[in-house]
Amino acid sequence: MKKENLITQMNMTSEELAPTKQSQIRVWNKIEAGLKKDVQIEKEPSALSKFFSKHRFLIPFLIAPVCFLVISLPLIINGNSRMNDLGDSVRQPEDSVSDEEVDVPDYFYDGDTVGKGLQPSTTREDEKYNINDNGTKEEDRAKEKTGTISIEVTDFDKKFKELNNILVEMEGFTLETRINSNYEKSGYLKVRVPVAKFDEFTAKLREISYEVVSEDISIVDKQAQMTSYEEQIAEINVKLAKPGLTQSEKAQLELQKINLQKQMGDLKKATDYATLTIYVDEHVDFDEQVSNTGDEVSKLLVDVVAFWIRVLIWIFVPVIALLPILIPGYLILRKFVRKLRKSK
Amino acid sequence: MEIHSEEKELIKRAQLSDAAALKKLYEDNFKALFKYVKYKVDSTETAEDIVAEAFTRAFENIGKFKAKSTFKTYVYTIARNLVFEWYKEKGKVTHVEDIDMLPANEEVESNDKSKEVKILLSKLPEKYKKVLEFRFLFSFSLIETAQAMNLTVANIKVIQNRALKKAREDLQ
Repeated sequence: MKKENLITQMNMTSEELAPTKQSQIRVWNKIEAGLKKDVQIEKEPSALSKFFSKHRFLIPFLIAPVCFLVISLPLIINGNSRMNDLGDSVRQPEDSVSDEEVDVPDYFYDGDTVGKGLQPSTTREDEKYNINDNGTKEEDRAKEKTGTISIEVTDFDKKFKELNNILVEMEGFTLETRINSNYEKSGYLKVRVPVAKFDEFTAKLREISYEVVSEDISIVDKQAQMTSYEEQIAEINVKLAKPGLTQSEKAQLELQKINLQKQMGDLKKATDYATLTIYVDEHVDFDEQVSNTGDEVSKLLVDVVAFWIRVLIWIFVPVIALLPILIPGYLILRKFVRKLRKSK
Repeated sequence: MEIHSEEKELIKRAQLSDAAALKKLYEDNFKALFKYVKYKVDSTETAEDIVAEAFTRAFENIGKFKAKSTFKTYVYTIARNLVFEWYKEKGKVTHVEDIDMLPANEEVESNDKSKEVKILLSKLPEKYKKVLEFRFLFSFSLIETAQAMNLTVANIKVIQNRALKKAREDLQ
């Protein structure tokens, strides 16, 4: 067999080996049946799944932050909503009290003595209410300030002491004090502070408080009453100066004058010092409230759950924070150990 | 060794489960694969079964096929393994490389029309025999032969030349 012959022979053999058309169809049918029976075409796994199948040790590091989020997120959300609920319940009294509902003391309607009729209830915003009817300067007018402030403080004893110090600093004095020391400490304080320092005092009061629960300040203008007293005294003085008065008439006028002076003195006292009633309550955290209202078992359960959540957070937070160092560190160490083993 | 862009396109379509593309790939490569398997197992029925199984496996895993080699080489590798399994079940081979030695001299039937060629090829060195088989029996291109044998095209050309020279010398 020559070279050409060999190739020709091989080609002929190749032809002999070649399948028939029927054979090709039969095989195709088998393939089709096999594909339909078994599978869909299997796709090449993605680069990400390849990476994770190669570096399985990374999976826990990725699961950890997800778990942390899953655990902490509801807690954070729930915690916020609970705090909001608490806040709402605390703020509610303040919000619900409208101007019409403010309990106005009797002396508030003392208008007939000053000849001005009923005085409107004034709030802090109404302080600049224009009653400058007789030419007296606004700041010089005799005003009677009274009010009630309800505050919450974090450390009751400390803040109560602080409050007294402020009072002394403002040259005020205490009229009445009452302290209840049950589970939640609360106190009641009736104080008098110079009208000039009233605003400064209330501002400092707000500063030391955790939250101002409610605040109601009333201002009554007594300038007209004061002027009336002054005018009456001046009238009496004029009458007393007139000649021809009998002894009994003089004595009567003197008595009237003394009474008016006394009333004027009282009025001056009332307008020189403002009266403020302060209700101080100790601020209670939500957890403490729960424990206070709930029974012992639920309290214990809440404590245990809270403890374990704290423990978990204390574990997870450092692990997550150190991940950027831990992972490369681990990889470098692993490479180093492998090299060491190889060299050995 | 880049594969033809037309085949690349077909593979891409086949990876998206395009039935027409799958059929085209089958039609383009069936003949050569069948020849190879039939040559090795010497039975049309068995060859049909093995080729069908080889194509089925190739299509199932076409998603993983990166088209770095030709599709024919890919299916050939599967078919070669299936032939090995078939022979292994019969207890005739223990290693997949043994497949390349088949059919052995004693297995060649006396009434086989290609007897002469088989005897001649079996006398040649393994590499030479394989190149000639791929090139002239199974109709593999130079590239496909190179890929199937894990050699370069230049190597295949040299081996083919030397193999034919050796065969001629043996004949004389």
